[in-house]
Amino acid sequence: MMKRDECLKVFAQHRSDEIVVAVYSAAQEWVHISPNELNYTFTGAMGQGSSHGLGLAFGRPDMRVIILDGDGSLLMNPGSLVTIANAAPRNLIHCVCENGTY
Amino acid sequence: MTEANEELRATGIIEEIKRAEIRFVVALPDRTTSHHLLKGLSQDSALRLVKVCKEDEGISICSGIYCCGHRALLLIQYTGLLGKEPGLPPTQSGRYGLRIVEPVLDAMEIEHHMIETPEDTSKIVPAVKRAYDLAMPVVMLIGREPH
Repeated sequence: MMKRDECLKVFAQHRSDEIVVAVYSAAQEWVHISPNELNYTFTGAMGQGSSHGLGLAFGRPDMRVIILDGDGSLLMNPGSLVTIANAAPRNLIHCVCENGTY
Repeated sequence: MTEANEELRATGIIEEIKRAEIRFVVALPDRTTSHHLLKGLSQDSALRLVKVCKEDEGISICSGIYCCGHRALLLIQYTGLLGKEPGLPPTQSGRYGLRIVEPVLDAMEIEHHMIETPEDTSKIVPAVKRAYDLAMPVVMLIGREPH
């Protein structure tokens, strides 16, 4: 299994001008790995990253939005997958890290 | 003066929502609002309606939209927010879930307004403006089923 920070470092190499939504542990690492004014990070709303990302995708259809989510976080807000699938924004990418805890 | 039993019209609410420069409505569908208000919102080409599965999801989507400089409105039922008994102030309700709505909003220092008559819809535009001026949420309690 690849460690999350190793994965994020690879991801950062390919980042250009995307809005990146990172939550919880991923957020704490991401702000150091890829400091950028387009980082949208928080630790106080576990599970809400996917929904914030969808809102950003609606608000900025001209930009790509990438969500760096965790499996535990996503399980707190699984309905967001239905909402995102229904809205089907073309500028939203949702990545989920699986750390084996769930 | 408006009679207490004058019907609250969904079309009136929708017009005021649009006058408040809201273009995104995030809604948790429920049977109270679905027939008139939600159906009307879904058929209005000036509004983007996003249906969600849970209230917190809607708050987060609205937050993301807000961060991009747009105005969004969250339409939810919750026990009380859209389930108030007509003609009776929520604080006098026999139902606990309704009775605590306004005290809880007061404790959180969240501005709130009752929307029960056609005239009450005129509160929507200034309330939304104030919400965005202050970067604070404002709640509008629709006290009877719109027709």
